[in-house]
Amino acid sequence: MESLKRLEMLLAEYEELFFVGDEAAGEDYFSRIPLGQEGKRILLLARGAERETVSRQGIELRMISAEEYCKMEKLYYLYECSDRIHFLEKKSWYGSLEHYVSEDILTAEEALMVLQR
Amino acid sequence: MDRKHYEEMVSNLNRLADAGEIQGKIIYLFGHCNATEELANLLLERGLPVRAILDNNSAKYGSAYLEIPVVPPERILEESAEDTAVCVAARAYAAMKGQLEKLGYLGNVWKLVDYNSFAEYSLSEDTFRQKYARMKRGLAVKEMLEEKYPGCYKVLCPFSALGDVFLAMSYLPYFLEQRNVKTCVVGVVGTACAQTAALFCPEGSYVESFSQKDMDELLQACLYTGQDDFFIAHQDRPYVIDLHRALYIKCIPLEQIYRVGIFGLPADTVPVKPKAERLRIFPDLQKISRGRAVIFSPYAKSVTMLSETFWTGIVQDFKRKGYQCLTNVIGEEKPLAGTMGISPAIAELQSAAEWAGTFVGLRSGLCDVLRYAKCRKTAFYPDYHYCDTKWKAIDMYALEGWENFVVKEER
Repeated sequence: MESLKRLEMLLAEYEELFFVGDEAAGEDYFSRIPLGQEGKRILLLARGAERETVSRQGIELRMISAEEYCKMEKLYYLYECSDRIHFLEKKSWYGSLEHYVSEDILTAEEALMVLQR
Repeated sequence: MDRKHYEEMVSNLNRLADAGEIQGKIIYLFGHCNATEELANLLLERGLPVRAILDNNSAKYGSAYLEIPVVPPERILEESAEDTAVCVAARAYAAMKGQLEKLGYLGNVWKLVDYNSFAEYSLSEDTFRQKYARMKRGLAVKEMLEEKYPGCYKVLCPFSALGDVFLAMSYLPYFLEQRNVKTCVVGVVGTACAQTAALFCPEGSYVESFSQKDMDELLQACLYTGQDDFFIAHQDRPYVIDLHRALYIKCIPLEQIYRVGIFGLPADTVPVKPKAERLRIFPDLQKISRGRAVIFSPYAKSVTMLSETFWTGIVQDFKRKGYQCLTNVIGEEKPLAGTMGISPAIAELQSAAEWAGTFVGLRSGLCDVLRYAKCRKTAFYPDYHYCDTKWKAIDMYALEGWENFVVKEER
């Protein structure tokens, strides 16, 4: 139930939450994700050793423990509690925007851009 | 809208009316789609006027349904909340309610149809418990499936749409080969989808049909348990799939969405066809004038319908040319005026169309089932946007080798 409260607090503070995977993925997304609408606060969450949150123009990257990440993921796959939560790690269970990038239907930048739509 | 959902909508509307929640209110609907149009029809039949249809798709502003304008959601704030009611028959109820609340709307937002059992925009413990119980029910369905088909990879087609199932099955063999899957069970919703899947099903694999409720709960259980023995073959259902977002910036035809987006196959992959031995001959061919008949298919569950006047004109045109006119009907559907009803099974449709020589239909999943029929084929596309995108239906699923026409009707 702590995860519920934690998620509720994050949704109150940020417009969109992106759970991006491990630390390397977090750094990669943070450097590449296009800036969204002005005033829109976006939080990227990645599994990794806790450290100071980094931010640039409305986009923040925060590391959380693997345990907390896993709890949030479980909640995400239990039901759709919000349309402002997104898990970006590719799963074998369904299709992916990455397929469009592989086949040159979208560029990598376009694939990132549509995530904020 | 299928019968079950329609009955649910009527029942919920009756409940609201009995409770005095909509009489005397300025009624708005949210989300312009086929279901919303059916709700509008129902309200108007009961003498309850609809002020406007709220929609996030700016491409629709300026259009109207039966003189009900499509407007931005912010328009609701021009009225006093206590004088208004918003009714939702569209899929994204939770998101729409959330959006209106965020805008500051304090009135009631009523869900008329539960299309999306996955969503509840609440993080209360009560909601968590309900959703956990729902997942547990899904787990029971999953266990039943695994007991019936031990060791089988599960491919789940979550929506009761013939076209979606047809496309999924057209590319499934390549996907299974890629994943080194030898045997699978394809889960679908409803008998017609099961019959469609059966046209393709590889030897040693199976098709299993579920109710929508069981399918939704099965999907949730598969997602929650997270084992690697299942795959969801759909473009936007359930909520975890984000392929449709690409349509906000690029037009990607539906078949390409399946080929590349869903299955990860090369863009030039050739679809497999239904297995010839699974197709059957329609037993009532003798009732059809060979080569001089036309089969009409004017009905579809989730597509904007074309008017009776439109179809009457088409039927009369064919009659003048000496064609025997037939309508494909199922259940309580009525043949078009001046035509004879026929009800071939899914596997028999191709033989019926080829014998008749001409097929003319509202663009629906049934047209996909007849994709390879050797006859003259015409598809009519009502002039609507695909979901909440700026692309029109013909942009998304025009059929190669067919005569494709967009029909703009004033409503």
